[in-house]
Amino acid sequence: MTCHEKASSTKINIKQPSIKVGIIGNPNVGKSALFNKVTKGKAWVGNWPGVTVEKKVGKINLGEVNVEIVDLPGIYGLTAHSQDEVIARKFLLEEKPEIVIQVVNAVNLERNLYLTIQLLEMGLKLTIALNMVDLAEKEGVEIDINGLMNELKVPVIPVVAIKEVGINQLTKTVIEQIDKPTPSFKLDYGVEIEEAIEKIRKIIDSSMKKLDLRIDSRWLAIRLLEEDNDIVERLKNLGLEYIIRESRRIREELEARFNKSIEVLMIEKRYHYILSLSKKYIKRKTTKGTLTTFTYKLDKVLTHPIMGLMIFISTLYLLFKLSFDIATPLTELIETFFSNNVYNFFKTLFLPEIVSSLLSDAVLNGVGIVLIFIPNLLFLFLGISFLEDTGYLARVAFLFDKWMNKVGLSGRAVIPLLIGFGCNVPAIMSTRTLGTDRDRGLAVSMIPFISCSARLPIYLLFTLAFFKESQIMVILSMYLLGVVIAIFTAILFNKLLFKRQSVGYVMDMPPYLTPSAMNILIKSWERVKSFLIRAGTIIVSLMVVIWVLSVTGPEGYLGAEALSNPELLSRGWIAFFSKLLQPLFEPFNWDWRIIASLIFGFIAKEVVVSSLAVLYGAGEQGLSTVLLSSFTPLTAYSLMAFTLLYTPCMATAATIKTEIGLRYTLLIVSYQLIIAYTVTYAILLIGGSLT
Amino acid sequence: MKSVAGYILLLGKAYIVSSLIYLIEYIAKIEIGISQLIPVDAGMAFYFMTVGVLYDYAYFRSREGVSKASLFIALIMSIAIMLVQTVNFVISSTELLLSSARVEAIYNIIRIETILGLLSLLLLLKLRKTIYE
Amino acid sequence: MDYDAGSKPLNVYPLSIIEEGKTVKIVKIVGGRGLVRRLYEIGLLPGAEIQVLRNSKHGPVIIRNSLSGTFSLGFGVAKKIMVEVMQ
Repeated sequence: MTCHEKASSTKINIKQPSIKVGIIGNPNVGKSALFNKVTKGKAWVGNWPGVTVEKKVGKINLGEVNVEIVDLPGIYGLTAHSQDEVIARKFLLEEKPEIVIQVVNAVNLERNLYLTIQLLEMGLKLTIALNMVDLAEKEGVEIDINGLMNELKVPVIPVVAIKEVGINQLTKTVIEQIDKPTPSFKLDYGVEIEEAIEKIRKIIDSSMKKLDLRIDSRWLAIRLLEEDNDIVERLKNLGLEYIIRESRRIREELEARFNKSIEVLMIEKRYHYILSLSKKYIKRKTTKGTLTTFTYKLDKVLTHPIMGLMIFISTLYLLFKLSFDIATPLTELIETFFSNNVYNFFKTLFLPEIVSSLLSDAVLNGVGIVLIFIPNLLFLFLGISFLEDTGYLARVAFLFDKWMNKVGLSGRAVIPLLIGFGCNVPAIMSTRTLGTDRDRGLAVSMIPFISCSARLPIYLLFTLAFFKESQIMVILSMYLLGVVIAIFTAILFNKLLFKRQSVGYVMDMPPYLTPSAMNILIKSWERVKSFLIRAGTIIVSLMVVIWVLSVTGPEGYLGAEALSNPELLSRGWIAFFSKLLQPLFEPFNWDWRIIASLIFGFIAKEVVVSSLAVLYGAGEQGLSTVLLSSFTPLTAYSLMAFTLLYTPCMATAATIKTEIGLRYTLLIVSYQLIIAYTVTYAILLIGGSLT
Repeated sequence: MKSVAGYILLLGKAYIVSSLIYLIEYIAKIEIGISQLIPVDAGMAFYFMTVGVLYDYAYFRSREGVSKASLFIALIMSIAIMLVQTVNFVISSTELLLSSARVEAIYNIIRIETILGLLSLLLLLKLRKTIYE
Repeated sequence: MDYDAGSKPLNVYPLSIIEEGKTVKIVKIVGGRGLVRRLYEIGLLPGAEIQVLRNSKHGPVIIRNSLSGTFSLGFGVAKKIMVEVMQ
């Protein structure tokens, strides 16, 4: 393209309105791989309004047309009873995309066709992307694509998303579809049901003026016959109760005749149709394709109760080793770079002390804390995304489902919980995959009690000083305490807050696939970025608040040296509040300096140690000796317990807020404070009576 | 596969023995072997035990289909830990590598994970075609 | 593969007690609307033939059906799927 041509086509683009295209499909069909390839990695990630489900939107130019591509959640059908289905349905009805691309798994085509039928009945302009055709070939699956296209009257484009095969053909077809009329699709449900549909349809048509939806009245009739809650709600809101009543009557008549649920009957009809399509257009050369047999054999080992568990524990070990051992040098690099170069930058600028301290000690420090998470988070997410994309995580969920059920969760929740042992932040973020808000909330309530690696320095310091012989046992007891309280919390929250039981889990076990490196990188980077931007801003703001409360006091500004001068610190607001709270902690025998360190510990649990060092006027080396003189083994143990339980660190709290919401975050923090106090009190009581 | 059967058995036994030595050393609080040849921590020892059992299971059940899966997983795990550990040691020895203590650095990298991992890699390359059936 | 549920068979058991390796045919799903719909949507209908790949007794079950693919079902779900054993 010459410079001139480029300029003129750009002009055309500005004048063209953009068209909306939705990408939909079953879970595990390679939808995100296709989305990434079509949008060339340029996508914006946000949330669907009102819910914490990820929404990805990309904008591209296809020829001369601006296209906005929306990635819809993976669903099996459109009956709107799970949150994902509701979101997809809402988008299709309200945002009215020009074209919908359904990504279909060629290996397992039949199951995908159920969604196809529902999309066609909705009267949408559909383009089917037949993905993974290379694997289907290996599996011995032969699909008569032309036959299928002719019968469904929908373009079917074979693609291999990961290898970028067929993408151009797909986009070209989508553009061509824009100007073509929407083909009509009608599935024959049998005489009696068709009669009922017609009756309802006539009622709807007669009030069509009130209905703004550009939706097929036949589809509406079918939905009403199936008693679709969402449609019923919408009609109620439009004041069309009589349609609902009439259709209910018609439905009840029909059900009396068949003695069976109409919905069930209709689903059966759809599957009869799918079977006929399968007989006509899908041929399997063998019942044991290479892919499924390979997966089946691997699963025999990986889901074996003993071997499977051992392999999983080893995999977890490897994951942690990868993310911590390899990330740690990078973290240290960032830390030293920050403290040597960046940190002092503002100090050299001849700014007034208060400003330079605000910028370096608060803002930069906060930014530094956020950045320090990146190497760990990145490697953890790389590992998890890798395991996720291979399909292994579904097997892990299977292995743990029995145990997770006892706490009211499904096997899927085990991954976030175990990640929490490394760091609570990515653990909270991985609860996204848990599907329902209830499961997420429950898992999130447990995670802060899991001893992350940041608590280890505190355990080490105290056990070294007070429990030298039984160091490991004491540290393990901390981990155990955390787990026990987490389980207790889950059971409690389950009874009080989430009264509805988990719906019972049904989980797809996709065949094992070699994951695409690009996908993994994109996924991991998206997660890290989301942490950086959303949690990062909260963390930096909180740092500023803490800074203000440290360098100012009832007398006014104390000077920036307050941060390293115990005398000055003792005149600041934090010390003030700590002294106020001291009576509360009388039974623990903690003076205000410990309370203040705990307040600072909100920043990051390791900070408790460094704060203690500053407040007690000892360097970190001499801290153990100082502690020995101010603590007994019992009070030391109780302090360790309190640090474990009292609050999530700032980063975790910020992540909970961005993933769930502010109210829940506050609930958890208050709950933790109460639990920490109660448990520590109990420890002191029990310990006191034993000695 | 029959030709390499003995090789598989030995590889598995090596992992298991190494893991057991770690266990003995830990319980009895003594040092028996060379630190290069013993897993670095308990988690690694568990990992070794798992890999060893997988290899030996593959050997003993070589007539059933399961053994191929077992072997495949064992191969992947041994190579994975080799890679992770090697990268780990390279990174932590970077300072050493830059100085004259190069020999010490190389000495540190030649560890049991690397040795057994390379042997597994050879095995994998040899069995590449047959494994995938 | 026939989705005709046929006449009422005598030996009907919940899926949760079926041994690994057996092939069964779904007779009925005893559950609330939501569950029935969800299972139906993925092709687990009366008349569907499924292979039990793994059964962890009082735990989840892994099954395979040529239309639906491979799924793992929680114990609570497996208990509600009534099946008859194929010879």
